[in-house]
Amino acid sequence: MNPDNPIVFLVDDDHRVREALSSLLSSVGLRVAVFGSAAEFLEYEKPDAPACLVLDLQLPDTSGLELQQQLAGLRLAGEDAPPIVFITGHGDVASSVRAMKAGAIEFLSKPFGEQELLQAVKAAIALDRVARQKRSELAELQRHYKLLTPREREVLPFVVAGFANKQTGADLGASEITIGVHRGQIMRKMGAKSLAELVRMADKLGIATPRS
Amino acid sequence: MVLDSQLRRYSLAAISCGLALAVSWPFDSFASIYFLAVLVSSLHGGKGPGLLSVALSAVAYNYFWLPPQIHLSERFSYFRFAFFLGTTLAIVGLIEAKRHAEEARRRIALRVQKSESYLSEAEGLGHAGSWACTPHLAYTYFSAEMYPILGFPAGDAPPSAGDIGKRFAPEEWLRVRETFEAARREKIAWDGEFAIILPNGSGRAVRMVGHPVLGASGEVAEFVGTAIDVTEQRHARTALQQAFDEIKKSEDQLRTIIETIPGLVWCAAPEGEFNYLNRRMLEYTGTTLDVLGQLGWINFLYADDRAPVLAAWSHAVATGRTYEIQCRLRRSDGIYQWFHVLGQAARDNAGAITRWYGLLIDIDDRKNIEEALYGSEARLSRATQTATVGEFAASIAHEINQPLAAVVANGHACLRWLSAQPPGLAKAHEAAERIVRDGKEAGEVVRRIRALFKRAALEKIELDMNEVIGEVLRLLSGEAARRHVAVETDLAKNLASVTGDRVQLQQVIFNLLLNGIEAMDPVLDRPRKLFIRSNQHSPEAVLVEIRDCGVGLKDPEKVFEAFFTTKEDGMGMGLAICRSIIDAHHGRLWASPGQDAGAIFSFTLPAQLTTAP
Repeated sequence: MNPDNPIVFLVDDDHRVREALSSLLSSVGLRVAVFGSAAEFLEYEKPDAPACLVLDLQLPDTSGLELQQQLAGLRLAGEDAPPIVFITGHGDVASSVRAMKAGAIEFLSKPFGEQELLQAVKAAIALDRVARQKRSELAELQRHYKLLTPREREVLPFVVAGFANKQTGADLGASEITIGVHRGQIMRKMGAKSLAELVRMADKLGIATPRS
Repeated sequence: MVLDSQLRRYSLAAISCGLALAVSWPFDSFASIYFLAVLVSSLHGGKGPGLLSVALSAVAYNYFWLPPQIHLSERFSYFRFAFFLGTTLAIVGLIEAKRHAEEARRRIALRVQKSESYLSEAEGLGHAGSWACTPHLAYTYFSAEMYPILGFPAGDAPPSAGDIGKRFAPEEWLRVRETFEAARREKIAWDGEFAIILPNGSGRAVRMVGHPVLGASGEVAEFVGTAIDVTEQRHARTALQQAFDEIKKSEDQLRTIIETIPGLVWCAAPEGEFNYLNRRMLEYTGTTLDVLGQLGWINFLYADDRAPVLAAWSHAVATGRTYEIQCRLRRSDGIYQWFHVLGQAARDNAGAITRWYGLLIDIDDRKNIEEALYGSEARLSRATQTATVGEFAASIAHEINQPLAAVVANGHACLRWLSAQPPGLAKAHEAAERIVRDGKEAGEVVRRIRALFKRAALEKIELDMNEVIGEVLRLLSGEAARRHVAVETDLAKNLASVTGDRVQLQQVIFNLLLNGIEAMDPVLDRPRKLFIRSNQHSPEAVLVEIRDCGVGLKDPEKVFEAFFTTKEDGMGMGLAICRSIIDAHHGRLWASPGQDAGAIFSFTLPAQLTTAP
């Protein structure tokens, strides 16, 4: 039903819940992988697909909130970390607030209706799909950026800031012609068809413009 | 003078006869000189020398004078000789008889003298004197001791009645005279004690005893009697009386104390037979010592208490150890009240028991309060149960929500599989089966919780402790997981069953496990492990042990005290109630420190000896 074949990871220590939710999610055509503990989940080789993590707040080894923190760390390091839908047997306000602040998609108290769960899972998968998209674009840009020579990386901020070649040459102590050559190389290596595109790329890479 | 030596006496007889012969020879003398010799010999020598002198005289008479004058050849001479012999023998006999009489009189006189001196001595020692007087108080005899007794110079004639009267106070003297008068009139003996005053002013007490001697006419001829100085005796008697009074007084005080102390006091012989009960005890039981003995004191006790009391008392009597027991004693109105009975053996210097002293202290009020307390403790127990429910409502909600969530999700899944194209019938079937299974489990959880908090009366049934532990573990497994506590079990197979109340024992295990789990909250540097173990402690007892590796106990006994708590929001009743429950099951609950860390809570329960095959 989905072209990119999304997957739902389900972590709950109660086999009854695992069985029921796994059946429910399968019935709507989602791939499901079930785990009894956080450790099992972390060891699992994840497929390259949009994903969602349905996580029980109370786990025997590492608690749901702790796993959430670990995943946030991975995400910062640029790795895949699926958005989280928390489920809990008895949700207390403090835990739910912490979970939502840390970026959880939804916080569901057992027993919950199928619509609540499915909507949350779909939202999470959609979010992950976008995030994955962004991550792959960024990765592409970074791959291009790595091709630049050190001198070209010095010149790039001046180009995207709209400096003329003459002024850039004066600032960096090079001739206007040399700067023009660098500029052409940058455009080619980065795969930018226009200056406007190069500016957007530099923005995504987080390259700061130099002060004049 | 009687000569002592036998020889001298006989010599005297021979010499006197010789002298008589010598005197009569030249003078051709007469027989009378021999009479004199016989007389002298007999008088001074006695019977033997007298007879010797008779014999010698007879010989001398015959041979030295008779021829030519008188000799035995003449008829007449025989007659004279016989006369002479008879006369001399008569002299000897008469003198002997007189000597005997004198001897006897002398001995009597000696005896009288001796006994008089004894009497005098005795009178002196006993301050007793003897006297005689006429019926009109004229003293005719005073023994030596009478003088010092009445304060008169010794040796005088008995003082006159007037002088004696001066020794008495006037009214006392009147009493003496009246006594005499009455004795004379009635002709009776009398005995009285009188106070006298000696000339030196000192007062003495004299006891006078007299009895009448009746004359031929039948009237009193005289009185004879004794007077005894009894001043010392009287002093001694007064002192004795005082001492006796003192003893009696302190004895009275002691008795008053014993009679009035708010306890029932008893004494028993060393063999255990009661021989004294104080007034309170008699009043309480409404009986007497005799009745108690006849009916048997044991029958005054509450029927259930008789056997243990009898056993304890027999043991005490047999061993001499202190006797102590609590029992119910019947009051006179038939109501039984609780008493604390104490008995202590009194021993002599040799250590043998001389008596048992006992005290019964009324503890009825205390017992009633205890029972009321027990009731309130039971209510409190329910209160803490409720508090526990509050604390763990969330945990229990988790237990129910878990299967419920599964049921709901399975329901949805089932519907979706059925409505899929084509329908996933097998999957739908599986989901439906899981709905049934999880629904039942949710019901089971609810049933267990209801059982745990049911306000049912104690219901003792045969129980398998492993089963009870299992039920509680199922309830607590969520809580343990939530707090990251791994629960390990080591349950003995073939455990004997126990008799008890399922809910109460579940509550004990629930409390102990929960305490263990909570004790490990601060533990971060080691795995949080909780062990629960059951085993056959002995053929008579089943042991359950719960071991945590938490913060441990400072004082393993103090934790069982009511209102002792280390928890901020605890009531401190949990362990106190656990102990009361185990006590009520005749078991024992205790705490000890764990080997490395943490604490071990253990309890034993009496095992059912007749195990099912």
